[in-house]
Amino acid sequence: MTEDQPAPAVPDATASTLLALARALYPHPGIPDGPYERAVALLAADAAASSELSALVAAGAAEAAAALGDPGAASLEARTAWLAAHEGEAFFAFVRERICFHLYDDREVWQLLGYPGPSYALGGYLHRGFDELPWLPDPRVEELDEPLVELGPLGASAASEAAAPAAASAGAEVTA
Amino acid sequence: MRHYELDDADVAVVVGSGPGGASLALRLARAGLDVVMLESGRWIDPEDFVDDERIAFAQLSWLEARRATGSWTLAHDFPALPAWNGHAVGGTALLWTGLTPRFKDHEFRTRSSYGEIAGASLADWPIDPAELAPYYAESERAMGVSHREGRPPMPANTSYRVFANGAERVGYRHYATGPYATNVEPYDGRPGTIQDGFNSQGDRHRSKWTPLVSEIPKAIATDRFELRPESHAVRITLDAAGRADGVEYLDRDGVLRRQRAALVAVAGNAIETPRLLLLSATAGHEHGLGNASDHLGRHYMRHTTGVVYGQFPDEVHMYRGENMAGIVADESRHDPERGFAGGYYLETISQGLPSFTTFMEPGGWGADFTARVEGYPRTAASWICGEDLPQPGNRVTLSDELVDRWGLPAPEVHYDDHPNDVAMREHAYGRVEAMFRAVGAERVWRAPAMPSGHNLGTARMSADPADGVVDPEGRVHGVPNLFVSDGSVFTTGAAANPTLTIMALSLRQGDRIVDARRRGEL
Repeated sequence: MTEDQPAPAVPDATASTLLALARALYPHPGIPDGPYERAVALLAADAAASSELSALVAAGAAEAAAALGDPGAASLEARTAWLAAHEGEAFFAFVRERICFHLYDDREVWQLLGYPGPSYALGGYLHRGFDELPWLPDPRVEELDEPLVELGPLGASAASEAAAPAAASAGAEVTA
Repeated sequence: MRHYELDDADVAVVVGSGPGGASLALRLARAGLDVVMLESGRWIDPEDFVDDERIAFAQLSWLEARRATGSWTLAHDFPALPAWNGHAVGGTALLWTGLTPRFKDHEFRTRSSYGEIAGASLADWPIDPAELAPYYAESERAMGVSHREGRPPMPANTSYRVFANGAERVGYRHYATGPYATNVEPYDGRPGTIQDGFNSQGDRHRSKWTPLVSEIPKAIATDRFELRPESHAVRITLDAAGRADGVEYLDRDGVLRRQRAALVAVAGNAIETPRLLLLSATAGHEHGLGNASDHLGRHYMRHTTGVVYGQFPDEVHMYRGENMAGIVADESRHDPERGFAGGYYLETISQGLPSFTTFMEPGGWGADFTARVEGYPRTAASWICGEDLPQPGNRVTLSDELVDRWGLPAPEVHYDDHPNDVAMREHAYGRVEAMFRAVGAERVWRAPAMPSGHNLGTARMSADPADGVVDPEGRVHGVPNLFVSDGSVFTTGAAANPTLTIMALSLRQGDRIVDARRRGEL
């Protein structure tokens, strides 16, 4: 939420293990460590609210560190494999959810991924491209002035138009 | 604002300030009745709404203890949040996006139209659709719905351009940007939208219709209406003759109060309404008010939903503009040849990055997940809104374990998908995928349901008291001056987004109450 660093709520070793796991949970090569570190700090603060969660995080991070050696130096593949092996466990569930929650709520991440956030102070998008999509034709916005089929199949012409491309796409999906 | 004394026994007490309760309250106050509205949530000025998904979620949502159980994906993905309800003046309308299709006539007669379906408790509504038609028109006028009575259509935003072109290319014909209950141009003292894209965060600009910016201030202006925010109803009391004579509520300091009443209308949405009726169990109503037939809390419906995302070679910027201003109606028909009963709408949906990463694959992680996150600017999405079938085992009950902040039993919401729901969802997923591929999607994927904004059916309407909880006017069977005024009364859910129908039913109910009052019956 904020870019200020919250007070550290876990020891440095735990934090650096969590950082290594966070980067494997949500790997974005173009995002620097800062947002991940902030997400870890916020996770640690969340865990600090409960002694059970604090213990869960401490134990899980210690187990990961023991398995990975220096987690910060472990390969992405090794960290991912460790996470996959522990998916479904309470430590994984807590860390995954909290990192996802905090990382994608970080303003630097928004900027890097192309989400501008609030627009009200800028006048919304009424004059800033809410309708700009140059790669497709302008569609109708009014309702069609013909009755909607409410019972039974679509009319013959509509049905034949609908069937062909739909079937082709459905086939593509099945084989994909 | 007018003030009424707690021992004023001649007031109508309305519980809940969402679309159902607020529409009824304004109707009654304008007809000269005195109305006290109890709202559990706070008053929040529109200028205090926050265009941030996480902050607004915490500010506006009902976050008291709840539990989801059953085979639906929500019980796994979001077990503490079966539904997304508002908890502030204006109710869940603060979160809604604004599509307002009407029910089709046959959707009021599903038992007759669909026949017997194993496991489903289908029933025909005990009201004539023709009688509701003028109330639909009045509701559309009250909300300032686009595309109606000369009001202009919503212009096409980027999401709609992808969606409508896809619909056209797969042969659909009934696509449009509405009807949509947000002002395109100034209407009813509120401005046109600036396409800022934060409908579900309350809408700072007041272009979106909600009771907070329409019915509530209008009711206050009648001088026949008192709004009491932060007043959480906990029990409806009955007199010796079995008529409702008051509502007990906890005020903002947690002090138990009791407002006496000539009549009571409950509009707490389909989870809190049955909960309040269950909590009001008393001698002669041992299983809750209106529950002699054991239907209270049952037949919970939440629409068959899911989301399909498509990623394209070029940019979409889904966050720009109205969040749900696009609808395809072709599949809303009842056409058993598709392999299921009932129909569904396809609707555009836009999400900011926090919501997108929460809902596009609940529990997802890893490089495949982040690849899709990096495609966010090139993403469009469509939400499925289809009729789910009522089932007696899908129900709201009082928890034996969980309690809310006031120490009262929390609601548990049990829901199992019916095979018809599963078949409909599969069909709908496939159709959206076809639409997105038809306009060049490089990747499409399916996401499960989000916590329900549409909650229906737990105090179902029936002509025969043996078949439901309320009569065709929304009056609780067995308690002649107690009414339900929200989506709980839906006998079946139809494919349509429910808010317009909730308002139409409330306006109709208001007229019936006023008539009964004039006859000296209330």
